[in-house]
Amino acid sequence: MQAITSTTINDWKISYNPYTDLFQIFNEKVFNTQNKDLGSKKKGCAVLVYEKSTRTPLMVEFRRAYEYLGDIDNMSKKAIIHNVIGYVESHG
Amino acid sequence: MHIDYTSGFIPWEDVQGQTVASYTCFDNEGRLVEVMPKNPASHDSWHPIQADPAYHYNLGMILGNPDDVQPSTSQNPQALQHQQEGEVLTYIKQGYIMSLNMPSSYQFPTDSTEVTVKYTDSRNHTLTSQIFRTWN
Repeated sequence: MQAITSTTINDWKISYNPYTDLFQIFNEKVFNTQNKDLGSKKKGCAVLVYEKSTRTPLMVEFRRAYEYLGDIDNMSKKAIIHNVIGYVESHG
Repeated sequence: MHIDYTSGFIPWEDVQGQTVASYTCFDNEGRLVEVMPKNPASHDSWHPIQADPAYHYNLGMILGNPDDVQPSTSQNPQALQHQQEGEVLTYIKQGYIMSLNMPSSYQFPTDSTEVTVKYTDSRNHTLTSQIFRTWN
């Protein structure tokens, strides 16, 4: 599995709904990849989704994102990415 | 402006170039809801497809025909504040973007679109909408 780095996900997009507290940071390719071609790996409460054939990460998802990432709507994208990478790295 | 979806989705071609403005529609229980334009966040937390008039003017279809409806249980302070002021429900639709038949839809064969509505005694209106990837 390729590592998640700030270079990897700097251009990824973010979806966050504060009312469901679901957060996703993703490479748009993930929308165009069928489920059978995707794998997933749990990293603590986060889920890392990757392309099976290349082992390339395409998305990180958090439920209860406020608890694990902080007040996303009031954070810079740089700070969000820092927290995402920090969380994923700290969970193996 | 009030939008009636009895004829189905509003075609992409019909709303191109239109200003994105608020409108009213009925939810799946017949309640009148005002659909508000989405405010882009300061960071890149939204996708350009959400700025398309077809995305905005068809959100009422999700409210009228959701696949799922979930109450807000978030501990986010912004969510908690709204929960104190009224009922907050999120309407979820699978494959919404593809249903719009926009040229850019085909980048999104798999999506889950969520529209959150706040209901109060005086006014029902949307708080946000988001596109997510469903993968499991």
